Order: sequence, then C-alpha cells, then structure tokens
Amino acid sequence: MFISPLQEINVNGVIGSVERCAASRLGQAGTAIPIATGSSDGPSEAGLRRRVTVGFIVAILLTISIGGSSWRGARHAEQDDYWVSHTHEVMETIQRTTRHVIEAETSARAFALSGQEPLLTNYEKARDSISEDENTLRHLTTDNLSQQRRLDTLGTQVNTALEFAAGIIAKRQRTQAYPGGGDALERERLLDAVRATTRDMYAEEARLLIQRTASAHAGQRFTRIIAITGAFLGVGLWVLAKLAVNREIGVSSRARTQLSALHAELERRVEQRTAALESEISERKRATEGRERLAAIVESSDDAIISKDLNGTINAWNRGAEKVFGYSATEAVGKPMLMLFPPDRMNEESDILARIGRGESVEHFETVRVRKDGTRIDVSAAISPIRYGSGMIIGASKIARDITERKRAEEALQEQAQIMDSAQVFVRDMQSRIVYWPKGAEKLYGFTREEAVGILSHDLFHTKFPEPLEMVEKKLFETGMWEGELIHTRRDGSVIVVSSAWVLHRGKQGQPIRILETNIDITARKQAEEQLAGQAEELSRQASELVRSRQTLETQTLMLQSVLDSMQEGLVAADGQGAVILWNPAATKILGMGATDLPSQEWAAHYGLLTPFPPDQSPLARAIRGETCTAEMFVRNPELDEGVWIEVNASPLKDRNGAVSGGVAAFRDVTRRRADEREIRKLNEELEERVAQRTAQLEAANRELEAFTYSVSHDLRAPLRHIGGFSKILSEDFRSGMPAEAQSYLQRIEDGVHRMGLLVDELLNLARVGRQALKLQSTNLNSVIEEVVSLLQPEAEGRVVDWKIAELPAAVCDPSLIKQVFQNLIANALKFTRTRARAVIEISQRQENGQIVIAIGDNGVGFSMKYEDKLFGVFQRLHRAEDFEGTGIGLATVKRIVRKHGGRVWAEAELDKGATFYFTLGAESTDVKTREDKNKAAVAGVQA
Amino acid sequence: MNPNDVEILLVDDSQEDVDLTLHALRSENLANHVFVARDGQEALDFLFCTGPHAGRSFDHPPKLVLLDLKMPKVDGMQVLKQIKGDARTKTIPVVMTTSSKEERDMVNGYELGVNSYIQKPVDFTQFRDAVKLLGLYWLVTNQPPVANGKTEAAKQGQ
Repeated sequence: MFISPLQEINVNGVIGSVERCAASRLGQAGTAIPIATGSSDGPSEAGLRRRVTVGFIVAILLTISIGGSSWRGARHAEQDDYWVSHTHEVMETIQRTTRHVIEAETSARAFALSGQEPLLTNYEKARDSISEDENTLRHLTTDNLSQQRRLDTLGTQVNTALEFAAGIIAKRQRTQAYPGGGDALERERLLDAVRATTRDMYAEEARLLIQRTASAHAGQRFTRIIAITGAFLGVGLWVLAKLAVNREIGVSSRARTQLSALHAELERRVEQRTAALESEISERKRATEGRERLAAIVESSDDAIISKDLNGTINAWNRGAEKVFGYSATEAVGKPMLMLFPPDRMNEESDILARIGRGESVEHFETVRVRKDGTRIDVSAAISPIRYGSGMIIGASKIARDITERKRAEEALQEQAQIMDSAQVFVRDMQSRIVYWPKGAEKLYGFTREEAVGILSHDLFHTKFPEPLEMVEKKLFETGMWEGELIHTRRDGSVIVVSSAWVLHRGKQGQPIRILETNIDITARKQAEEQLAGQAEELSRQASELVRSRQTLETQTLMLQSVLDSMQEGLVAADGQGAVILWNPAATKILGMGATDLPSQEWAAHYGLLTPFPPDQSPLARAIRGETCTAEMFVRNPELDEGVWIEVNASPLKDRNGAVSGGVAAFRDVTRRRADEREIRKLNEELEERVAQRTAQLEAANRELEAFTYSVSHDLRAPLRHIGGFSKILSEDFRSGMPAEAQSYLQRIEDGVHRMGLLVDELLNLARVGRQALKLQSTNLNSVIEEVVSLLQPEAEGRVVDWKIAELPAAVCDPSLIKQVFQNLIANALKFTRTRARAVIEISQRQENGQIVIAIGDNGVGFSMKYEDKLFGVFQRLHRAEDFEGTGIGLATVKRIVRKHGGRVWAEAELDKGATFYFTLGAESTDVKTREDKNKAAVAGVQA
Repeated sequence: MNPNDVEILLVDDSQEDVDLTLHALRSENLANHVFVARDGQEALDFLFCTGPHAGRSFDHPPKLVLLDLKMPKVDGMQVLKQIKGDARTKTIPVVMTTSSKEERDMVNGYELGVNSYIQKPVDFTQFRDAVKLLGLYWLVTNQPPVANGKTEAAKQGQ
C-alpha cells in the first residue's frame, strides 16, 4: 500500500480550505443582519424628528421675516417713488415759471419795440401762467420751508419784473416810444434776479431728487436681496424637508426589505450548508478513491517512482523501483539515494539536490544507475521538487525508467540504419526506371533522390556490362537473379567497378514487377588487384634485372680485382671508422705488410712510416675526414734493407649522396724516382755553379776587355790628337814653303788621323754601351726617328730621299741608346742608297708573337745573305772602303744595344735589291707579359 | 809676365796638349796672359798663392781655368774640388778639357760645379774652334760671375 504522506497532507489541506471558505461566508452573513435591525429604531429616529420640527419653525420664521421685509421694502419704494416724482414736478414748475417770466418779459420788450398787439397777448398769457405756476409751487413746496421762503422772494422778483414789463408796455402804449437802454439794463437785472432765485430753487430740488433717488435705490436693493434670500431659504427648507421625509420613507422600506432578505439568506444558508456537507462527503470519498487509484497507479507503474527528502534519503519506493533497481521498498526506504549512483556519477546527486533546492525540476535526462546486483542500467529520469502546503520544498520525487533495453534497441536500429546506409541498394521497375533510391545509393553514386528517381538506371550510370544486356536479362528472368561486375560512372564523372546483384521481384500472379539491384563498390579492390599484378610483374622484372646487374657486377668486380691485383700502385681504402675495406697486393709489396685493423693513429708506427706530420694527419686519415691530399713519406719496409719512399694520393670515398663514407689512398714507390731526382738536382746545382763561375769569369773577361778597349781607345786618342794637331799646324802654318808632294802626304796623315779618330770614337761608344746601365722609359719612337733624320739631313743633302715613316707605338727603352740604333741603321740606309737616283727609306712596325718588330728598309745596294752572319760582328764590313766608308762597328753597336734591351736584331737583304733591318725591343720569349709588366714597373719607377 | 795679369790658367801635364792649346789660343790672340801649370799641385799653388806662388795676390784671380782631367799627382778632379770648395776661388770659371765623353760624365757625376767642357778632339780644327768660342765667351762676353755665376756658367756650358 503506497500512501504518500505529502499527498495526504495535500488532501487534508484541500478539505480544510473548503471548510474555512464556508465559515467565512457564514460569518459575513451573521454580522450583516444585526446591523440592519439595530439601525431601524433608537436615538436616530427622535433626532430626526427634532430636526424636522426645528426645521419647520425656522422655515416659518424665515418666511415671516422675509414677508415683512418685502412689505417694508415695497412701502419704502412707494414713498421714494412719490417723492422722486414730486421733486421732478417741483423742478419742472420752477423751470416753467422761469421760462414764463422770461417769455413775459421778452414779449413785453418785443411789444415795446414793435408795438404789435399779438405780442401783448403773449405777455398777458405768460403773466397768467406765472401766477398759476406760483400757486402750484407754493402748494408743492408746502413741506419745505426753505423753498417757501425762496418762493416768496421769487414772487416779489416776478412781480417786480412783471411790473417793469407792464411799465414798458404802458410806456409804449403811451408814448409809442421804444424802451431805452436803461430799460434794457433794468430788465436784465430783474431777470437775473428771477433766474438766480429759480436756480437756487432748482438746485435745492435737484439735491432733494438725488437724495430721494438714492433712498429709492437703496430700498429697491434691500427688497431684491430680501426676495432672493427668501427664495433660497425657501428652496433650502424645501430640500431639507424633502430629505427628511425621504429618509424616513427609505428607512422604513429598507427595514422591510432586510427582513425578507434575512429570511431568504437563512434558507439559502441551510441549503448551502447541506450542499457543502454533501460535497465534502463526496470529496472525501473522491480523495480516498483518487489516493487509492494513485497509489495503485504508482504501485503498478513499471517506472520506478521514488521520493526522497532534501538530504537525499529515500522515503518512498514503489514496485517499479523494486523492479528497476532490485531493492525492495523496505530495503530502500531510509537509505541514501546515492546507493543507486555509479561511482563515476556521484556528483550528479549533489547537482540534482541543488536544483531541487532551488525549486527547479530536472527534466527527463538519461543517465546510468546501479542495480542492487551491481549491474549498470541506463535510466531515463525526471525529478521534481515536492512542496509542502506552504510551498516549502521538503523533498523530491523521482521517476526513473529502465531504458537499457530501449538503448539497446536504439543501437541495434542505428546499426541497421548504418548497414542500410552502407548497402548500396536501389529498386527499379521493369522499364529500368529507378523507383527507390535510398541514402546508401546516393552515397555511392552521388545522385540525390530527386536526380535519380524516374531515370533509366543504365543511362544514369552509363553502365558497361560484362555480357550483352539481353543475356543478363535472360538469366535474370530464368533464375530470378543475376550477379556480375559492372562499370558505372558516378555523378562526379569518376568510374567505379561494382559487384552487382540483381533480384527479380514477382507479383502475386508471378509477373515480374521490379528489380532490386545491390551494388558494392569494388573499385579499390580491383585497383589493388591490378596493382598487385603490376607489382608482381615489376618484382620479377627487378629480380631478373638484379640477376643481370649482379652478373655485370661480378664481371666488373673480377675485372677490378685483377686490375687491383696487377697494378703497381698500392691501393688502400678504409671505411668511415678507419677499418680497411680494400688492400691490394701492391700495397702489401710496397709496405712490406698486409692490412691491419689498428686505428689510423697507429698506422704510422705499425708500418714504420716516417712522415712530416702527426699520425692523425696521415693521408688516409685525412681522406676519411673528407680531404684530398698528396704527400710523400718514407716507409721502413721490413722486407727491404733500405725502406722505400712513397708518394700518396688520398681522397675521400663518397656515397651516392655525396656524404663521405671512407677514404682511399693510392701510393707508389718513388724511391727510384727520388734518387734520380736527387741526382738531377745535384747535377743541376753543379751545372748552375759552373755556369755562375763561367759567367763570372766571362764577365770579368768582358770587363777586362771593355776596360782594355776603353783605355786603349782613350789613350790612343791623345797621340792621335797630337799627330792630327801638329800636322794641321804644319799644313796651315808652313804650307807656303812646302812642295806639293809634301802637302799631299800631310793631307794623307790628316785623313788617317781622322779615320782613326772615328774608329776610336766608335770603339769607345761600343764599350760605353756595354758598360752603361739601361735607363728605361716610355719613349715616343717617332720623335726619336725625327731627331735622327734631322741629324742626318746633311747626308741626304742634294739627294732625292723618299721617307716612309709609319706611326710607331711608344716603347719602353733607353732613349739615348735607341737613338743610336736608329742613327746607325738610318745612316746605313742613307749610305747604301747613295747610288740610287731616288732613295726609298721605309720605317714600319708589325706585331709578331705579341712583340713589336720595327723594320728599317731601303732600296739600296743590299748584300748577299750568305754574309749575314758577319753582318753584326765588330770590324766586319761587306763593302769596300772605297765604295762605302765605314768602321764596321755601327751594326755591332746596334746589336749590343738591342740585346741589352732583351731584343733581337736581324736583316733581310738581297744583293742590289736593298736591305731591311729588323729589331725588337724585348725577349723573344712567351713571357712577353711579364717583361711588359717589368717595363711598366720600370716606367712607373722612372716617372715617380 | 806678371802673375797678377794672368787671364787664363792652363793646367795640363802633356806638353803637346799645352802647345796645341796655346797655339789655338794664340791664333785667337788669347795666349798673352796664359799661365801654364804642368800638374795639379802647381795649379793649386798658383790659385791659392802658396808655394812658389806665395807672393801672388788673391785680388787678381785668373779669368778662366782650363783644367785637364788626367794628370799625375793631383788630378783635375781634386783641383776642381778645391777651387769650388773655397769661397775665395769658387767664382772662378773652370772649363774642363777632357779626352772623351766618359770623362765628362765622370766629372758631372760628382756635381762639382764645373762651368764648361772642351773635349779635346782628334781633329785640331774642331779643337781650335772650341777653344776660340770658349775663350771669347769666358774672357770677353761673360761678366765676372757674382754669387750664382757658377750655375749660369754651367748652364751655358751644357
């Protein structure tokens, strides 16, 4: 039996509130009645009556006073009116009297002036009126003494005036005379007096009038006020009276109505009470039923319905909870809710309790709980706060449903959906139009449902069949299915291979209605197969290639091995760690030992290497480090007595990527070569020494010779000079006494002396050239030539000489010596063309082997080339002295100068066809550049 | 001849050369006031009024010294050096008589301030012409050198 105490409380609460409600309604009615009865008699009734009596008395008094006042007012008004009109009458009479006086006077005067009778009548009429008016006034002003007195004065004045007028008239009638000026003045005086009196009277009356009018107005105003006040008071009284009467009437009728209402209320309340009791009874019955039903529902619910307090302690537990969680109600109630939570979700409870505490509900949420047997179950739970009647939250109810099964079912469904999605199935009708196109198909082909449905499938996919379509269909209709591989094109244009299975669906009559086509994309598999096939092929190809290359390699290895074995050079290779990987027989032979596995630092000691470098700098060690080097070293070959000298070339071994993977050293026995070299060097040294000695000897001899030549030449000059001098004196001073023959001999002496002088000078010059140091400088050869030509001009005197002088480059040379060269050669050219009618002397230059060759050619007598070797010798002459004078020293000097410059001089000639002399100014070697540089340096030095 | 009238001091050890020179001077009427010294020492004695010439005065120096280079005892170079090294004598023009260009080059090498040269040529005519020109220049044309006379003379000689 499940009864929630909270619900019980709720039910009681509802009943309680119904009772409270009825009681309050009854209470209200009970108090209303005495009030109504209590107010119908008592002190309020007597007061009212008193008030009415007082009201009536007041009303009567008011009416009387108002009436009296009105009557008095009317009376006053009447008197005032009389007096006002009386005054008006008096005033009018006064004015009339005045007017009549003036009229009488005027008429009298007019008669006096005109004498016409009618005017007299006017006078008389006015006179009569005046007396009437006087009587009237007297009568009217009897109540006023002051006016009576003024009237007396006026009567006198009027009588005087009328007498005066009568006098005038009489005067006229008597004398027919006009009134004079005195009359007029008198008349005016009299009238003024009348006017003054009447004015006073009028003024008095006017004052009275104002007084009376004011009095009349005041009386009228009083009467009006009284009337209005009376009217208002009357109305007020009326109203008061009416109110009083009405109230009286209302009180009595209300009392009657209340009586009947009270009666009805009593009746209704009896009914109501009865109904309330009835409904209470039925409600109680319903509540009990509802509670029982609820308890039944709760009890019979498959969902766990649990309630807990705010501490999380279970206080209600239905059968559903028992089923879901495995605990019985007795086991669960009073235990903490947390026992249902798996350890990893303990924090959920505090969250839930916090939310409940705030009055929030926890909507359906899925979570995991633990059963009594420890199994985890998926539950869907909803938790809502339980409020006490006052709204205070006292706990929470929790409805939990075991959804493990549902979850499992969902998962299964999802799985199936996935399977369905991954299955590429579609359905087409017998016309091959697609009728069903699931997601899986869309996924495979890329066509959406809208794009695919209704389209001919073979067109859509550009299907390629392995056999004709007729055959496929035939098989399908015969067996109800077909299987095979198809080639399809997808929406994006890519081509796939599918493994296709067609199943024919038949209708009830057995007629075919549709085809279910299942396609599985096997493109990747196909490709893999193809790739595999390709790989296999490639593998076999590679294998055969490998065999081939191995054979080649073997051949090459054999060849290399035989080369290595037979080569004279020692060859040693080591890997990156210094381990020997190659060692040919020549290496063993040269070193006297085989390979070793010692580290490279110890090789020197092991092989007895004598090297100029530390052990780790041995060529092979350096090669392993990536260097290339060449070295020579001595090896104490234990096989030989003396050891050997080897020359080593070492270079790194590099792998395919260029990384150093070791080193190789090739070495050869150079002991013999070194011995040879030593011998050669020794010989060379000896030779050089000899050459130096010989050169020194030669130089000394040369110097001696030069000194000799010089001193001979020099010392020969003195006696020669003396001979020449004295023979000259002799021939000049003593000519007269001398026979002709003696004179001739003297002349011959002089000629001989002259020739010898030339000879000595030239020899001296030659010696001088030899001794003189070169003063090199950049020289303009053309200006040198120009100078020489002008110097030699006397020689050309009287001859036709055709000079052809080319533009020559600047040359680095000693200008004074080069001038001698040109001087000698050009002088020669001039000399040997002497026999020519037209001498042609040509100076040109040409480039030859990077050198400048200067040529001086002539069209002279030339010479035979067989004497060419004698050409540049001292004292060598190719012509007779009689034909061409000369010392035979000039060309020797030229040669000496040119050679001093490092150049060369030579000649080409033909007898009687002219001769050309060539010279260069520089060694005829290949290192022209070096010399030029040297020359430049010299020039720079000179210029500096 | 009064030693103070000497216009030319000829210094040469070769009698032949002296004779030839004097002949050449004579033909130009320049030989009247020539004193011949046969070696360097004699030339120095004459110029510096020493030895046999102690009575001579510095007030009357020769107008020209023709000085041969190659002489025994004191050679021309030493004489030249002393002449140019002494304030009293350095203004005296010195013309060197040389046998060859080499000699001339040698003297120039010492930069002793020789005023001019005469190369004694084999051809007497040439020699005579040279002597003539020089004598005329130094004795007649040239003003006695003052402070920098030697520079100018050197220029003229070259």
